[in-house]
Amino acid sequence: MSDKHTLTDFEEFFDTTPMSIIIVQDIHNIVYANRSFLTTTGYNFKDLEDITLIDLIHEDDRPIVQERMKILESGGKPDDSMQVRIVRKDDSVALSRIFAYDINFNDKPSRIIAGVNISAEPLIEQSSELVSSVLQTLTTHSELGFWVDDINDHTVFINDRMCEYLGYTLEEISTRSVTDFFHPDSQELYYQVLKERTEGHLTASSYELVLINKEGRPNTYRVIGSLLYDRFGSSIGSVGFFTNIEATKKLSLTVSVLNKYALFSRFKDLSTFWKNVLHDLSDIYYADGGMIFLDGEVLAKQGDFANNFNPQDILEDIAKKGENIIHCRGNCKHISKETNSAVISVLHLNQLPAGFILLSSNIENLFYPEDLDLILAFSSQISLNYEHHFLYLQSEEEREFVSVLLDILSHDFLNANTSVHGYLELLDQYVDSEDRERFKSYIKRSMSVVERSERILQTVQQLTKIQKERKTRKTVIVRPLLDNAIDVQKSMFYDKTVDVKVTTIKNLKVITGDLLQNVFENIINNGIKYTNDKEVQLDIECKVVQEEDEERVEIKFIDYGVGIPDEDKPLFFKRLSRGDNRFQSGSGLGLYMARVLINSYNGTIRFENRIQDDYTKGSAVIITLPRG
Amino acid sequence: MATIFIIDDEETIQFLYKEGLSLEGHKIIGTAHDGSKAIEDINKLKKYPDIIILDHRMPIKNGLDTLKEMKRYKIIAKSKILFITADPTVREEASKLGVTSFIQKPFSIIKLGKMISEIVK
Repeated sequence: MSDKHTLTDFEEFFDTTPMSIIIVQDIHNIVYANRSFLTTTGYNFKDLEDITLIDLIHEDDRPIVQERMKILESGGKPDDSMQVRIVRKDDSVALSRIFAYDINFNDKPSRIIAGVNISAEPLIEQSSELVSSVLQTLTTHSELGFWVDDINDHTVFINDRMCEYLGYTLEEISTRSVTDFFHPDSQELYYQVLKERTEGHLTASSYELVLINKEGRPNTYRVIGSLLYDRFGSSIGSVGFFTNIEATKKLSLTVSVLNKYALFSRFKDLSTFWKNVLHDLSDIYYADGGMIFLDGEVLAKQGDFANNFNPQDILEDIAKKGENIIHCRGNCKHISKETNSAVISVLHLNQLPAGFILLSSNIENLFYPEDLDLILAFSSQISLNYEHHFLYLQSEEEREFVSVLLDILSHDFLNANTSVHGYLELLDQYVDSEDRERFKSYIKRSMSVVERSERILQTVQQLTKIQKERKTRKTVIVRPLLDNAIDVQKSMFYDKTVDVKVTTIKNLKVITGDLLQNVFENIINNGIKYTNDKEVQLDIECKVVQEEDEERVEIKFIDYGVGIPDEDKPLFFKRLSRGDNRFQSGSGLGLYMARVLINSYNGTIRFENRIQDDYTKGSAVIITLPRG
Repeated sequence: MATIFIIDDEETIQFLYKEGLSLEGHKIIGTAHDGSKAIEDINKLKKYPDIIILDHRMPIKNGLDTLKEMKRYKIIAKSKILFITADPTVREEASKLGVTSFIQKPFSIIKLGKMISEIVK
């Protein structure tokens, strides 16, 4: 605005704008009011001669306004805009956003104040028919759901889109509380939002609500809502604009779950992993039951299933039909009697159906077509991740195996070659000498090195066998394997008397591979070898132990030998040079290989002292394996 | 003629050193299977050996770890170390610890004897 104005400069605008406009001089005196102001407040020009600006302000808001007036009186400049309650002539209240600017009006410094009514009260105070008609016009063609309720949570207005979202008619909705359509978790959130608004923390806010439609399907909505006030400034209900975000919400949650479970190695064990996957997927798709079946095993399960529900049969059926996803609606009694809808999505390994993810619910028609696409995409991706994980582990195992072979070749064979080469050089030096004893000793040593090379080769062959068979699994009874191993090892120590005491429960079984007896032999061999007495005592104790939620078998080999210092204990299971005799084994399998084998059988192996804190009293080798 | 201490975990190789190096007139004044025992024995000697033959690949304490301990006991400053390794990274680290002579297996024991004669000349 320019510095000097007369009313005629703005008359046309002032008369037509819906904004209420007044002009004030000397801070307090109202010298002009436009038509909208007079209509909105109920005052006439005569009334305005008898009142000042502060009289228009609700008494609770007067301190703020007076503060601004003080700033003006002292020549300062308060904020241009504020929110304030205006009191009408009939004492009703309208919440307004006002804007104030300095102008020069009729040759005198003045302040023009423009106000916009920001409460919905003018609409509500009209007849409900008129309100409905206006709102219907405003919102019929909208993609947004529009819902107004009163203070008792009863519907005052709802547009067609919102009815369509909920699947109910206006009559059905009108007879119930709005919160009846809310998911239980959302009811709590809704009351929290209302409380915050009423207490004045929020005038309008955006939040997410889950509503249940007529078919029982939950849907998530982004809601922008606000309280409604009456003319006296009291809350009379609320208004909300609803956008259905169910599809995008599911997409983003599914992707985030996929990211969360992308790296299998982060999880301590795969059983926990799959349980978490099933739990998170069930949450996203509102499923109350489910199962993850893969490679012949039920990896995770929640809810009850029918007695005749056989996951392998389901998988074979799906594979036969060549389908990747099955959507069951209504008649899903083959899953369980409570199941009225289910999705079974195939998991592939090596491009062949190897399992499935099943999500189920008692709500009929729970799953939307777009849900099926997402669940299928999730299954495909998690299958790939799972496959990659095992390929990675396999490649690591192969790498370790190759490294061991290279180690043997580059170290043990190199040493053997150096020795034989050296002794041949010496023989060459002494070929014409009379020192036959020296000559013989070089030949003897060379032969001994060559024999050792042969044993190295046998070890390499044994390792190759381990590498091939480490994937095979079978359930075996522990006792016969122990008895065979004890007999073999006793026969190798003809100069010692060996007494082995075995304690085990009958028919105790473990899940293992073909070479478990070799591991037992190796441990028994060490126990006998490192007991200096001619009479050797060994105890073998077998029992079932609980590790988290898995039953395992613990086999403890106790000897009364020379023992192992604590600092050396970890070294016994490492691949080491052949020079240290403690690491040699009469059975051809060192402790390194025992560890490799036991680990490949999903087992553990460790050393302890027979008597805690005194290694000199003998050792205990403890193996755990999955119970068969 | 050099006095030599041998640190190698293989008895057959130790014996080879003894026999082969004596051909060149060298005297083996001690042997050890691992680094800790070697340092203990060397520190007990009246006179430090001219040459210490040290194999890197040994259980319990490898050649590099033995070298580090030798440096602490100032053995490296008093004896010449012949370090046996084919690994360039290990060589580099051994060089930093003061080793200047390296050999790798397989080697000729006769040539090794001559090489030691050259070193101590």
